[in-house]
Amino acid sequence: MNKKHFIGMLLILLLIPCTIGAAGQKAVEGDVVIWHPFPEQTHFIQQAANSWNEENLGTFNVTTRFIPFADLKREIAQSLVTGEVPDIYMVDNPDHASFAAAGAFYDLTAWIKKWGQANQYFPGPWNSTIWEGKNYGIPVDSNTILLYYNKDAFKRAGIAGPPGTWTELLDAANKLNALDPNFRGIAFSAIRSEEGTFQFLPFLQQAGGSVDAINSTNGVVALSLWTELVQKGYASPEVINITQNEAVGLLASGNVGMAISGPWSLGLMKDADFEWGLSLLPIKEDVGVRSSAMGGYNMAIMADSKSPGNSWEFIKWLQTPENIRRFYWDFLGGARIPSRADVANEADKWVQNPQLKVFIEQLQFAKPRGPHPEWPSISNAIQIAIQKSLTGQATPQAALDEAAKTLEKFF
Amino acid sequence: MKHIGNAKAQRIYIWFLLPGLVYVLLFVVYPIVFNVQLSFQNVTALNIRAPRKPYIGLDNYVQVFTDPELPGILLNTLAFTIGSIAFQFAIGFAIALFLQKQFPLRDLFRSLIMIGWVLSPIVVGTIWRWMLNSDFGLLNFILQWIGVIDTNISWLPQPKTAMTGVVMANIWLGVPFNMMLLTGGLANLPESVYESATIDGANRFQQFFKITIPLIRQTIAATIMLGFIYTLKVFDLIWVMTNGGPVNATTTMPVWSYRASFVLFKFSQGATISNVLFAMTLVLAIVYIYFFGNKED
Repeated sequence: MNKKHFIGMLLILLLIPCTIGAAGQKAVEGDVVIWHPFPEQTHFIQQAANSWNEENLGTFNVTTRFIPFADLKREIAQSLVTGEVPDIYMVDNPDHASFAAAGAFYDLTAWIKKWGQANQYFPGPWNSTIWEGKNYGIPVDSNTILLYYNKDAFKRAGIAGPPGTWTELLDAANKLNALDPNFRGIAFSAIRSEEGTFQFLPFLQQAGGSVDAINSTNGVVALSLWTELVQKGYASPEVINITQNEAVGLLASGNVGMAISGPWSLGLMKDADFEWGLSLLPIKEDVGVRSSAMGGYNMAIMADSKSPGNSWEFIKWLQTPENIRRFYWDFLGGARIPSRADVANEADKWVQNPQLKVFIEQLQFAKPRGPHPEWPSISNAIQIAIQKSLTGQATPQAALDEAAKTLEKFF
Repeated sequence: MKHIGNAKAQRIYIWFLLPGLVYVLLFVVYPIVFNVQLSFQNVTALNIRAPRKPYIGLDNYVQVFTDPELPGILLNTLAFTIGSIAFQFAIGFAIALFLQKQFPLRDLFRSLIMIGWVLSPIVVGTIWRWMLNSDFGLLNFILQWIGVIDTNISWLPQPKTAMTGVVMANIWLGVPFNMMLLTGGLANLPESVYESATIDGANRFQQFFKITIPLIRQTIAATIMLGFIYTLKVFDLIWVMTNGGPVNATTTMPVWSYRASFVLFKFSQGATISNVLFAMTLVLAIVYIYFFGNKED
């Protein structure tokens, strides 16, 4: 290879990444642009936008732009600085308060009053859209986490049914673990991101603990359970590095007997070659509190949007009971649960998959995170405590004491 | 550089400089200035849209330099950088020497090695994350098979081995770059020197240490310097593999800066950390330019 060829090749190599850059979408005046974190076929938002465009020709167009979950918040933060904001942002509900407090969202209070549908919504999701008494969005769909389990493995291990209590959970994990040296009892996500906090909070609440008193005995008991699962080898040490989808991936590929995740992971179970089921999260027997984390997305109109009126028209259209029935229930057999109680309560009529009914049942016990404008920092302190304890760098008590010290200033 | 003859020609040359100058001002100087400004303010998610942001002087720098996390993160940055460069350079040099020899399919081999450099760090990080998996990772399988270990190592979940894991991935990623620069240096060596050395009875080792290394000294220094500058700012690879965890075990300066800005929304703190990193890189760059910049003839 002579020098010329070499330089030529080098140039080509350098140019490849440049051609992959995403082309920006410039909208026509009045059009509505939605930024969302849902890959193809995991949310109905794309279908809803397409339907709007077909049925409302001559008004305005709705376009959607997918940005991966891990990048969406950053892109929104950057857009706030440059002013190149979308019109509607589908925001993960614990983040809603930070953005509302920052003045990033359009105040919908007057419009919502005129609309008069506020009392149709579940209070948990609805409250996540309120900041200092004003409305900054509409909760669109809710989700929560459950226990996915491998029925065949349960049978082989001689376990009667899904664990209902923490004791049964440890027992089941132990028996499943013993099935095969390459098989583990359970997978969950203790990753250093919001997902880790999301999975830990139900355990904290079931033990009777809370974020504002995280190092209470109850909090320590919760973290001790997770630590025990890892230290006894019932869960892989990798749990501190895997996402919720990866946990279900391990279940689907036959590497673990149980996994914790939400309805967005259902698609991953399609290829599982064994009988599987869903069950409510096991509770701590002596406390008896049922709890689960409330996840879900709100639609917020950006304060700098050039077409807030049209955005509001689209949201109202999407939130009519007919359209909720049309989009939500059709989608993956109802994997996205409406935040409108009147329609969600018809679930029995619409949801064909009996397993999804478990999600709706668990959703009644789901508790929102925050709302608190400093939620990301609160969550970060919890993640550090989880990781310290699970990797044996600190006892659950010491790890949570440290977290409590960081959290002091937020409550 | 040759001097331009007359004033008219010089004026024309200035126009040729203009596009480059505009580019540098817009995409290099402006962000740096903006970042410095940001580091003297207190910008968080809460006031990002406010028309005026409060100036707080050196508070951010005081906070960063007194942060209890700082010493550990600096050590991580150092371990990551030195660990990566030592091996990237040694392996890259060995391959470059090997590729000097004529053998069939040599060009194909060279192109294949380049693949590592073309791949996005995100892809490389993801692949290595699975290769290092505690339960079914390829590396544990190989190490068990050849009998080095008895039980699987939890590479990334253990604070003690997590850094080794990300460094291994980064070495793999950086070897082609080192190899390429060194190949360039080796290609310019005159054949005649080696011929006379052989006649004088110098063996291969003597030739390598007495001829090859002194003659490509410049290239070696450039490779190591550029390696430092590139490795100091590696972010994506670590983020994909560990998110900087467990706890802070693989948090380096760029990861810390990103987390402050885009996870915790403390934009000014993130800017301050990246300015400290910028200063570190700048010192290296100045050293590089001072010693080697003008001697490229």
